[in-house]
Amino acid sequence: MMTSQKMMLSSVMGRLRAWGETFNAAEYYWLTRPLLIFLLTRFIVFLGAYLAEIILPSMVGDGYYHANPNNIILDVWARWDSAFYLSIVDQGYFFELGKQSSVAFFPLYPLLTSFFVPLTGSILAAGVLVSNIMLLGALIFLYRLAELEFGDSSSATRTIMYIALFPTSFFFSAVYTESTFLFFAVSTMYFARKKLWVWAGLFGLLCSSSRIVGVMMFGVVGLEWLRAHGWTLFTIHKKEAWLNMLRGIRRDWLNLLSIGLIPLGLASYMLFLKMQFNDPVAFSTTQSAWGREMLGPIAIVIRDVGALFSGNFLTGQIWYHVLLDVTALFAVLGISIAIWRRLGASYALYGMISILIPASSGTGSISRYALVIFPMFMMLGYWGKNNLFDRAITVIFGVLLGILTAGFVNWVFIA
Amino acid sequence: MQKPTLKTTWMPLGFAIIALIILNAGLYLRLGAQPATKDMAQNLTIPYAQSFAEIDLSTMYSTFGGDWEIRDESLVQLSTTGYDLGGFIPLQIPADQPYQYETRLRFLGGSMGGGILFNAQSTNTRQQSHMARLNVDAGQVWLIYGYFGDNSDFTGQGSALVPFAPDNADWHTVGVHVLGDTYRLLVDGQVVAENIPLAYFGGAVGLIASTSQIAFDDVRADILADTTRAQATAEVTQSVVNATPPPMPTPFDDGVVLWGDAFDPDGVGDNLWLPLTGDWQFTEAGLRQTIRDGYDFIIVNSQPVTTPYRFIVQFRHDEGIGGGVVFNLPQTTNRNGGTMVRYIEENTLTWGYFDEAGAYIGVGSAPVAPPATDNHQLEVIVTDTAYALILDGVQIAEGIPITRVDGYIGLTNSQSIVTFTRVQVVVPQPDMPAEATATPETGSTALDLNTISGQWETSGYTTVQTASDTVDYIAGMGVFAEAFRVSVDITLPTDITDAGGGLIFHMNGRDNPALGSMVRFANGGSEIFWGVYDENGVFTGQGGAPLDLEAGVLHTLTVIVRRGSYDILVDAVTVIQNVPLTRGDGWIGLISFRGPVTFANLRLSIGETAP
Repeated sequence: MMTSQKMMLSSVMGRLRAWGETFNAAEYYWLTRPLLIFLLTRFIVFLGAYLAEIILPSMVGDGYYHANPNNIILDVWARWDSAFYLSIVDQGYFFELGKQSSVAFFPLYPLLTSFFVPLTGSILAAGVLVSNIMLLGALIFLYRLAELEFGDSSSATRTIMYIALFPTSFFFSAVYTESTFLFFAVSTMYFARKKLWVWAGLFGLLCSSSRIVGVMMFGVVGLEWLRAHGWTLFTIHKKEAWLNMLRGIRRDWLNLLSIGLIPLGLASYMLFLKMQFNDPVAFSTTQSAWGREMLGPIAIVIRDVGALFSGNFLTGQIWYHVLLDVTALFAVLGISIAIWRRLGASYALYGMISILIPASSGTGSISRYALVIFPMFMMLGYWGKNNLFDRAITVIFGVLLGILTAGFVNWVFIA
Repeated sequence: MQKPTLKTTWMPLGFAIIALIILNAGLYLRLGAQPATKDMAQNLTIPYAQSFAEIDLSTMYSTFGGDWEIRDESLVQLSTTGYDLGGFIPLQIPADQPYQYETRLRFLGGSMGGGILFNAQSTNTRQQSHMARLNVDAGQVWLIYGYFGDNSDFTGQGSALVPFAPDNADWHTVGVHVLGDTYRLLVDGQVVAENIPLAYFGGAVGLIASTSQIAFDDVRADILADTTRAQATAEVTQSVVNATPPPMPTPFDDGVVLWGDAFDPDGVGDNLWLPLTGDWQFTEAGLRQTIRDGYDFIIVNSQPVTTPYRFIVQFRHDEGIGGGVVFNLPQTTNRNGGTMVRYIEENTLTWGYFDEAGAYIGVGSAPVAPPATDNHQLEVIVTDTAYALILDGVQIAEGIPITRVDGYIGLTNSQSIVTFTRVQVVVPQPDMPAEATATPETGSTALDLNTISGQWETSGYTTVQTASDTVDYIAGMGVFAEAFRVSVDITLPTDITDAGGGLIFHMNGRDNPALGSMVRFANGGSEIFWGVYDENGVFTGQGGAPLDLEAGVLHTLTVIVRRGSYDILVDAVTVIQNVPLTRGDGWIGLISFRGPVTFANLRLSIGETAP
């Protein structure tokens, strides 16, 4: 009897060991490492959010809503702009001049959420589910992209670890569009770098329907196509580069044409806005209700940095989120130089445009917009070969992530 | 170069087409703006009844603003801070369907602002919906009603007093009968208003709470078979306002024009008008607001007015209908807190006020003759407690409670182009003979002195300032004027050798001597001096003259103020003429240095006066 039990235990242990070895095999890193990092960081974020909600005092009063007060685990992921996404799924878009209207929020994420509502039974649960599924998908694609660019799994692993630990990465799990946008932006870039142009067009189309800056994937993929056909910004002065480009257009016109799929996501939304509200750029029109005005990034930075330093750092009477946003802005712009040199113009333009478009009307929420600038995390992952750098980034990001998550769930405006 | 293959080209191309189809279908079918008609999909139809015994709020009601919960089998709105927090029932009623809709409601806290929404064209915004809700004003509960327009602006159609106290916590029923193109309102089964025109037809119904915690229960909607008059109707609005009229002031027919503006082409006075909204142009015909589409365009006059006063405006409608006045505005920079009276329709004059957030709260309305494009004169007589309305010499309403006692006046129009041709503010004439003989027993005015500093005691026609510290004490007379003649008999004390007394005028505020000019006896009557206060209240002398007045005996100080300068007379003898003025107008008051100083026989004549 005893012998039989030992044999069975040994067999089970052997199978587990074999399964573990298979799971940890290098050929599955593209799946296992993103999955592990996803599970690890989401566990930390969900636990932190839950504890912060029940331990710390929260804002109360009008506007500080609770989408599901009977389920704190889910409720903490609906804060601030989440209400717009929930209302879009629940009641459709609305647009009222002079009022913060849901048309500012692009349709892909709420549409995907609506598909999951029958499965989850609630809009909130569906929204959280979609956000996290998209995050996992984005981590997988980002791992593969980083591995493609750097040729080593360590840099790729650090890349996805840094992005999943970034101080505002809790937005990836919230009822926000960040993870959906990241998924389609990274996958578009991945397919472009693999020269699978039609696939890039497909994912780019969806990217441009998830956020306004998604339409710039049209330019990013276009640049990649040109680079693949011997034309780059650095060879712009060479006749041969132009001949290569013309040759590419002649021979590869179908793929080039497929890149034109990308703006169709935005075009569909604009057509919808025209039909419903007679304003194809209602998403821009309503921005004024958020107090945004187009002054250009330089004027905005001067204004907001001036406001920041007119406060008192010693007594804490400063606009804390401006501090976060301005820090993120300069970090992205600074790293973009390295991105240009190491990864190419398309990556750098993606990073800079992603940050400069919103920065033209205000630095507000820049720390959230920086979250989806994946080339920045790729560069950090690359630099993370230095152990000291790696540990510093991990600790700094981890600590700030905990603080900001606790603030977010308790209705402190972060970004 | 790649050759097109199924895997690299045709399959993703097919997916892209499918994605585009799903995206567009999803946009229009799942995420499209939901008019009330879309809620028909939820299959809620009349007759509808809901007692909230079992309901999943998230699927049955769509709310905008507020904190809505099911508690004790009632639907409760818990927020006490927001205005017009609403919730809609996903119920669609055809435009041509007469129906009745009602709810029981109970006041739990805040300011008793619960009611109903009906004929709502959307279920996620109050835009384009009718509203009737309770509102506490001047210690009474009113049912105010009207509609939210395209921009959520509320147009009051009237109000009706309801017979319960503001702190009443009993269940009450608020309901509406929608009949063709009009509706009637009921409170506790009694019709309180009817024949009110509808602005929107058909749609959803809902509940609304404003700055109050309200419990709703037994919500019912049903087809209204009998569209005839159900019962005797209470008089609408105007008569309700008349129900408890506070005492009106004397109409001061013998009042004096505090200031006026005929909008003459010379442009004098134009810069006193401050546009808040709209396009206001000074034309030869008058002051004209030229934007036709829009609501509550306002221009404010920068001169403050204190009650009581009579505000008279002459105007005509060039296009559309919607001209009127605003008054008692607390500030010149926005409409918040002000009171408004204007035409709203071809034959209706409405009145109400803007709350602290600038939202219009309708208080009442009355049928009037269509204004067409004729000239009309609208008068508002404002006292400390109420106001009355006179249109073309006919009293429309009186005893309407006011929300504040002083402020600024202005002109307004909505949905129209209106030319204002004349504005006057008339204040009561002080009851005294001009240039009466200087005797303490007769002729003194019963002015309502308001103490700025010191101890001022009025007995009969005599006012005595008794505080004796070595400072100037001031009391305002409550009169604002530009040019005038004022005189007063002053008796200085015999035992205080440095005492003084006199007049101060063109003060910045009724209670604020800043920027005022001052003339007073000094040093027991051995001299007189004059000068001005700066904006911080610091006095700067402009001149002085020796006198030989006997203390303990009255002496008459007269100041004649014209545009640009003034003269000073003591006991009818001119001391100085044409002292330059630093300010064009302001408030008038008395000034005493130490005390007791006695003032009597105050005589005031407004307007340009010869020396």
